Amino acid sequence: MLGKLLKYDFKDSLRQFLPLWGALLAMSLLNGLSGKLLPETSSAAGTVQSLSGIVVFALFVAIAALSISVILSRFYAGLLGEGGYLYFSLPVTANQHLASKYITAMVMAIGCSATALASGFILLAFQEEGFLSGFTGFLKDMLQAFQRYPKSGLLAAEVMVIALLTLSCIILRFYTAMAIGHLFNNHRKAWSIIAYVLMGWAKDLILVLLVNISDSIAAVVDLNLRGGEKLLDYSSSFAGGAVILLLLAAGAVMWLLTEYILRNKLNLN
Amino acid sequence: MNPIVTCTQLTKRFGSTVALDGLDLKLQRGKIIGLAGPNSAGKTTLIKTLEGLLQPTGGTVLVDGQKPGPYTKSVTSYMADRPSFADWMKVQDLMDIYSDFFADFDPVKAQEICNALKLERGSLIKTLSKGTKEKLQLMLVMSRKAQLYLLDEPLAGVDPAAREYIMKTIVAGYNEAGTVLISTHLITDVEKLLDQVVFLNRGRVILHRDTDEIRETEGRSVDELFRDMFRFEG
Amino acid sequence: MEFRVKDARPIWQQLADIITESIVTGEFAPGERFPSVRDLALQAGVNPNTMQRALSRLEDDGLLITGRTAGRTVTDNGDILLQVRRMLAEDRVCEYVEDMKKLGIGRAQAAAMAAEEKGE
Repeated sequence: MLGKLLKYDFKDSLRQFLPLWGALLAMSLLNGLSGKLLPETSSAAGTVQSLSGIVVFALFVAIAALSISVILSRFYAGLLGEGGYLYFSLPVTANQHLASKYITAMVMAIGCSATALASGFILLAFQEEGFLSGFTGFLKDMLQAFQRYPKSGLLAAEVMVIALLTLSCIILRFYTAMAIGHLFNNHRKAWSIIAYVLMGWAKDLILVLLVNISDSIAAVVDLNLRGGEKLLDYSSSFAGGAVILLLLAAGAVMWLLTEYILRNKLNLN
Repeated sequence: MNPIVTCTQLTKRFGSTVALDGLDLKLQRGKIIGLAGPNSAGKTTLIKTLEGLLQPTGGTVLVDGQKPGPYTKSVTSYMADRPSFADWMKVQDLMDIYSDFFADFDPVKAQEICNALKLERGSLIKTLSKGTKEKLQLMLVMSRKAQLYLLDEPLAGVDPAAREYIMKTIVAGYNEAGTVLISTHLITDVEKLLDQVVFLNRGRVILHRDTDEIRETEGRSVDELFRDMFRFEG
Repeated sequence: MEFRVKDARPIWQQLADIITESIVTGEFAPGERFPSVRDLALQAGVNPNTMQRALSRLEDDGLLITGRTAGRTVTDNGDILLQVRRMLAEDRVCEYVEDMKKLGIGRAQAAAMAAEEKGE
């Protein structure tokens, strides 16, 4: 069932994003190539370069705006609104609905980021002379560093995981806020926004509290595991591991709350 | 056999408005049942609650012995009172969705109904008129061999000439072991389809009888009885 | 067959009357195969249970015979057809006489008018 939901959610999302991604990459190539292939002094070169440059910028903005708007509206209108009449008539659990929307949102967000990075890469590669060789050199150095200091690889992996989890929490926070707004009979949009803001405050509050009990945390860090190892050895830095745990916990709380509301408190008007 | 639908003291409040007020109802299997009542009697609220799109504020609702959830949705075929489809899809896409998610969807029957209602598989949904979208909804819903069909005002957006067509589609399509619940204002048109009729008013069941029995004992059609009972309602 | 629900009598009764009339007026040949409940219900746009009830009455009246395998057939019993035709005719005569009475025309005169009636 989840696979089927994903199929349709992907189809719906990709038809909106793929054209933009394609256009961005094409325009970046155009911008880069026009600089290289056309003679520098021709006015044609100048026009094509500037125009494509403007389009590239506009596309960056459009993709950023679209990604947020699509993530929000697919959940708000697509699940809790009109689209719910179709989706919630399907023999599918709330968990599956949530998972499908969440995974689609994550993949699209990552796709947008990847396309943006690729576009930047293309632009730089064409504009800066030594960019490609410099970049290859950088990659080689990174690989060497990972081999010599395995822990640096771990650190890099941690950074990736934290980035993904943070993205996760951003998306889940939107979903949970919309779900909380759905609990009310009227002015659901307004309540969603209020819930969103309150969740932000709650997060800040919890972080402050945690910092204030750092003594107890330091004690945990010093824990001796069986075999004489320390907990500390399993994370490159305590902070990295703690952040990951916190993000996971926050994500879990938001997921469970949203799923509960979708399962037991659905009221489509 | 146990009833396909059991509502016990079912209550639904929206803020201060009471849409369903301690409603008790049992629907037997294999019957075509009409749901009639004045505006705001609670017809759509009842149907949406049976489908699990609304949560009861009190009381219980059971479909095939279970609370509305993924199982009941797999045996219930629901037609909303207004079509809401993603505009970018084609008719074929919706048929694919139904066929993907519902094991009881019959593609052969779907094609027959498409032909009868003159629906083109390749049509873009956003180009369809409201009446055609209603027919599309009906086609999808009646192509399933469900245990319970919930039709919320299936005749409402349809011109009078097409109503006969719609009713024949219902008779031709439905699973005879299943139950069809049709909510409607147009009792006269629908009556010859019905085994039973339920009158709803202010969130309560005020009548639930066989249509034959009404004609035999009251000497009136169901529509006449309805008008008499609701003469002073809104 | 024209399936029209005219009055407040139970629908199955009205359907039975319509089908009875079409059988005795020869729309179906004696012994001919009769359409299934489902097909008739579809044609009439009525609930199959209702059509079933109507057909049951016709079975009780002897106009339809349910075979073990072949579904329903119209009776080929000439006596029954004659009898039913006669019954319907008598109903029509009754109606005719009543209608004429309302117009102030007595039974004998009504009979005479009928005899002279040349038709179109």
